[in-house]
Amino acid sequence: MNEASRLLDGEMTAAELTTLLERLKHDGELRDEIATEQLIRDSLAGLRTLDDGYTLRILARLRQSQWGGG
Amino acid sequence: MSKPELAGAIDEALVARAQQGERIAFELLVVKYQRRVAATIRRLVREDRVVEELTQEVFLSAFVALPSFRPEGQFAAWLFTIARNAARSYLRSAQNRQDDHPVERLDDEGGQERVGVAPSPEQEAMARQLFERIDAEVAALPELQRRALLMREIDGLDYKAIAAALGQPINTIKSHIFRAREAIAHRARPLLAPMRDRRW
Repeated sequence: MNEASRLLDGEMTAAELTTLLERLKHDGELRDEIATEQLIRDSLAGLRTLDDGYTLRILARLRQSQWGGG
Repeated sequence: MSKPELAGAIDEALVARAQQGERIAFELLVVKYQRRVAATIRRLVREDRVVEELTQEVFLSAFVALPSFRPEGQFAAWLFTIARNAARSYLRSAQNRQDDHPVERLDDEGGQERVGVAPSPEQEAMARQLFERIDAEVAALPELQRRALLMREIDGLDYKAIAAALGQPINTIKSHIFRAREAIAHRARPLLAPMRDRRW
């Protein structure tokens, strides 16, 4: 299994999660792999919408409202 | 090799990290649940851009309330409750506005700019093409892979239950499901590539 599958299934140790979260801050390919994996899972479950900026707009709103300058 | 410590408890782990201030953990929860939150809202509210705005507000509310979330609770159920409440609250406000000003549209907030974006016809066409390709790939999977995948994704069964139902070792089932997802992702990625800079 790849990292995206293992993450979304919770098939990793706490230490591996710590490492992966740190990588996610800088690794766009890994973020995309996870987003694509989640899109496919959602699609198979009948939730058929693209993420055409949807997640980024949610995160932008969080940054503006709650996350301060970070 | 030690047993994964997080098996079945990834949400709890991500919530705990987010409560400790790791924003990336909350971002992962957004990626994981944004469609399900939007779908929960869409059962009550029709307009796409309002659904998106409410989805944003749900994650804002969840983030603000995160310190009070109890680890023994189910994060997803808690999040969907916030979503339903947000949708109902919006409908009440919209109804009140309509009672006061009957000519206004339900999604009109007196000229205030909304942050939600309705999908364009091009986006809808891309979505249709993508999901048709996913369906075709699922249909083309070997029988055991397809059955295992659908039991996991549609029926929501865990690997152990799928293994028992299909009379296969659990690692074989995991392998089948992983290969099925990989095959679908391989076919889907070219269609997703043009939107790469608009994803997480």
